[in-house]
Amino acid sequence: MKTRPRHVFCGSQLSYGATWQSVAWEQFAKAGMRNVDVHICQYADFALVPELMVDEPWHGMWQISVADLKTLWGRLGVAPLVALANCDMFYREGVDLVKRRMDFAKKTGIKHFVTGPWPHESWRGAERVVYDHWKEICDYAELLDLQLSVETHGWTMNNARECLETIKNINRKNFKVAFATSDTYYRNKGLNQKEELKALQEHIGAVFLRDFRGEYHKWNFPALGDGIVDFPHIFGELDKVGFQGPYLLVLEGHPEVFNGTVGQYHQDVLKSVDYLKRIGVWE
Amino acid sequence: MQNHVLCSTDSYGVNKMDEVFKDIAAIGFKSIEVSCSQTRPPGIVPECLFNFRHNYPDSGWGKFSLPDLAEWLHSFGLKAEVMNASCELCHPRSVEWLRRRIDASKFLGIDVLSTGIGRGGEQAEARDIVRDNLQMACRYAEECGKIICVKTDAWLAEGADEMLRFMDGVKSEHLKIDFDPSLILYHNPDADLTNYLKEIARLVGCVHLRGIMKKNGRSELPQDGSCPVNYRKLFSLLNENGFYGPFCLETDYAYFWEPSSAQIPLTHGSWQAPWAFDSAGLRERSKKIREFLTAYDLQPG
Repeated sequence: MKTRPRHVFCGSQLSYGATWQSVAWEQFAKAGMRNVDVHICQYADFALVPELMVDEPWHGMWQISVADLKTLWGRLGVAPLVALANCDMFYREGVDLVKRRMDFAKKTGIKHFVTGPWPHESWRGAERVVYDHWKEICDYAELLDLQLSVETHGWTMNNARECLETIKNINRKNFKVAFATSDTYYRNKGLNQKEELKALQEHIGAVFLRDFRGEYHKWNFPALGDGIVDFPHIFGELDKVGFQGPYLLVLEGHPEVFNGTVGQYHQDVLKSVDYLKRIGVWE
Repeated sequence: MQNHVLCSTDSYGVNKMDEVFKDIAAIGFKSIEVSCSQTRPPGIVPECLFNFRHNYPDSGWGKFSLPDLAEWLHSFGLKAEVMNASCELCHPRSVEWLRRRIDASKFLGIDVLSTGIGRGGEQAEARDIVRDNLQMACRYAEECGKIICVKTDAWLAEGADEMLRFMDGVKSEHLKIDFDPSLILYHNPDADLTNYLKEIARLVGCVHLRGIMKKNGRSELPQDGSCPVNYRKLFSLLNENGFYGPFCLETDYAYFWEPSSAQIPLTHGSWQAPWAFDSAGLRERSKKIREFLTAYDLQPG
């Protein structure tokens, strides 16, 4: 009998709204989630900025010291597993930003590097620029031995059809998809998620566990199990191809928690962890 | 001549920037100090901003570009005039960080940048390191026609003698002093501010008005007479020396080095909410700024 793979979960600090990353890490540790992500996007409030960081300890200032950051993770009892590093890689300067973030991931011992294109509709027709940039980013990831996954984040990565076209044009084995379970519905209309997953399952490098309810392009991501996403099916299909993770818990909020407290966001995290246990995928 | 008072975005803690700009403009300010400090990540990070127009849709502002940021400020009727460019000056990479901030200042139309010393200043050898780093940065400031102001921070808070010795060491006309009485009193509670200021007034490039910095990192702008800082005397001494500004109002020290969930909701907001994001804090700070201006008969500049 084929053994079901052990799933690797990771808490994304996006699940706690716009707050200090250390607060999110502290909360994930309380929820029993040891693996966490690190936010190093080009521009996001509270993202770490690798360009401003030094390697050596610097007076306990973990926001600007890689060594102090590692000490903090140790103190909180969490392990960094994924770097979340969306940058505008349409531009040469954006590619360089991605590379600097990859250097940071390498230094901190992070294995999974997730980025996204921050697509701009007015760039349609210039896909080749993006493909060339992705090739360069893939090659740099290979050099650093990082697993690169790209978010289903609109434009050339909006759905399975777009992703497959991009994968074909980039033609790099290490270009993987960060499959966001909500995006079939949030970023698209009329798609069947089972078909989307089937088309992409061989190319998935990370999964964003995010439920969805409501309308197209309306921000509404409740606790797992409270929306329309069929998570047992997703785990079942990905188990078949031996995908272990990382499965990132990315609960980006819903109207009931807008401007809520960290405590409210934490309830969604606890509820989602409980749901994953109930469906038998959290060992 | 009227004193030129502007408002620092740091006055508003960790908050949504368009709400902050709206409030600053509503008070009547036309000029602001923007925060590009190395150690306050929620501020502006020049390292992540492109130098060209970008106009990313839905970003709400110039999140990706310095020219877009300048235009976004203009849309509120505001102009950035001073930059909080604080870097860890004891670190060898501080020259690189300061140069990037000087580059950014060109796009934002800023001529005056201010920096504290950062950590490590308590070590004796740090003084030479900071002097050398600032000397290098000032050479670039000279090329670009900018002024760097060093804060009355760390050992420079000990007295005017220390500051004058330091200024002599750097020897650059592009280095001035950011006179920050709250920082002096933080490091040196017994300091005689009037004597300090008398000695260095001719070298002042900007002033920070922020009352007393508390141990928890917050500063409080006091009303007239309730603070060891005699603001009337301070204005008069500086005016006698021909200095009328910029005076940067900063009512809060926003950054906490040990953020924890106990501070929530101060540091918390959702990704998609209308971003009231500490709206009570915003109102409270706005009130303090207005009260301070009234107490000292100051006009927002």
